[in-house]
Amino acid sequence: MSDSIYAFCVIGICSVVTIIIRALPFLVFGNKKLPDTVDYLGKMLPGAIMIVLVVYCLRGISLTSAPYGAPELICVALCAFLQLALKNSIPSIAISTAVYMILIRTVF
Amino acid sequence: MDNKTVEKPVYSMPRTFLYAFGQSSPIIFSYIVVGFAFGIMMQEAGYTPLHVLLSGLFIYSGSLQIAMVPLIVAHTPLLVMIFASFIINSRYMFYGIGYTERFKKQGVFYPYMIFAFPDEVYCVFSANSYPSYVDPVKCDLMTAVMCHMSWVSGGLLGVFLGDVITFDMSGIDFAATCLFVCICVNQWMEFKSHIPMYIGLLSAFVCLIIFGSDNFMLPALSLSLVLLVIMKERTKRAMAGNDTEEGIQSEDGAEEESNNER
Repeated sequence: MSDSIYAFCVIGICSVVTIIIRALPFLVFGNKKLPDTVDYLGKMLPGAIMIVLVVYCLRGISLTSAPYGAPELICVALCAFLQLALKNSIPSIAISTAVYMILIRTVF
Repeated sequence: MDNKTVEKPVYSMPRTFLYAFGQSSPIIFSYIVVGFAFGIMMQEAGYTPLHVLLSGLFIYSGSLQIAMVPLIVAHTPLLVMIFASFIINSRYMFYGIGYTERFKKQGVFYPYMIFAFPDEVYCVFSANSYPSYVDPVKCDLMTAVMCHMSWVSGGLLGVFLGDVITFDMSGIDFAATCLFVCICVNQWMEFKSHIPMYIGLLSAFVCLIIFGSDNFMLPALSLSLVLLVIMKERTKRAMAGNDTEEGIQSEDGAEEESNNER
C-alpha cells in the first residue's frame, strides 16, 4: 500500500470512529424524553469537562524536571487573569500564546 | 408576513449572524492557528493538501488530527489506529448529553450538528443563552459552520504556506489551551455553583495520578459524571442560589458583572 493511500485510510478510520463517538449520545438519548438526571448532567457536565480539558492540554508537562512546567503554568495563569480583567477571549488568547512562545525560546 | 402571530419572536438575521460570529471569533482565531500547525505538520511529513482538506472536513478534531500525524508517519497498523482514535476522542461521548433536543431543531442539519461538535464548539454552546433578537437555531448552525470552515482553512493555510514561512512556530498550539482557560473563567463567573468545577478538577487530578497522562481522560470524565450524579441534589440546590457555603456570596458580584457584559 502506498504511503499516500495508507494516509487516506487512516484519515477515513479516524473520521468514522470520531463520527460514531459523537453520534453515540444522540443514538442513546435522541428518541426519548430526557430523564431528569440526563437533563441535569447536560447542564452541569460542561463545568467539569472544561477543567478536565485544561488538565488534558497540560498533561505533557513534567513537574519533576526543569522547568517544572513553568512556562505553561505562568501562561495559563496569565490567560485566566487577562480573561477575568478584560472579559474578551481574543486578546487573552493572543497575548498568552505570544508570551508562551517567547518564554519557551528565551527564558526556559 | 400575513399570518404573523404575536408570540412568535422577531429575529434579526444580520444580528443573529453578528452574534454567531462574535461568539465564534475566539474559536475561529484559535482554529486557524492550531489548524495551521496541523497543516504544517502534514506538509513536513510529506502529505498533500488533499489529505489536510479531508482530515479537516471529515475528522474535525484537533487533538486526534495532531496525534494522528506521527502515527501516520510511523505507519501504525490500521487496526491500532481504530483503537487509538477511539481512546483519543472518547471524551466526545459525553458532549452530546443534553444536546439532543437543541440539535433536533436543526431539521436536515441535525446530523451535521452532531458531527460538527468538537471541544470548542461544545464550549460556546454550553456557555451561553442567546439574546431575544437572535434566532437560536440559525445561530447554532452558523456558529458550527464558521468554526468548521475556519478549522479547514487553517489546515489548508498551513499546508500551502508551510514552505514559505520559515519562522519557528513551535508553541503556537498553546492557543487551544488558552481558549479552554478562557472558557473555564467564563463558566466560573456564570455558574451559580462551582461544584461542577471542583468535581472536574478533583477527577482530573485523581485520574491523572492513577492512570497517567496518556489515559486519564476517559476515567476522569466518567468519574466527573458519577460524582455529579451523586451530588445531584446538592448541586441543584446550589445552582438555584440557596447555597451559602463556599463563599458563594462573594462571587455574586463577579456574576452580576458578567451578566451585565452580556
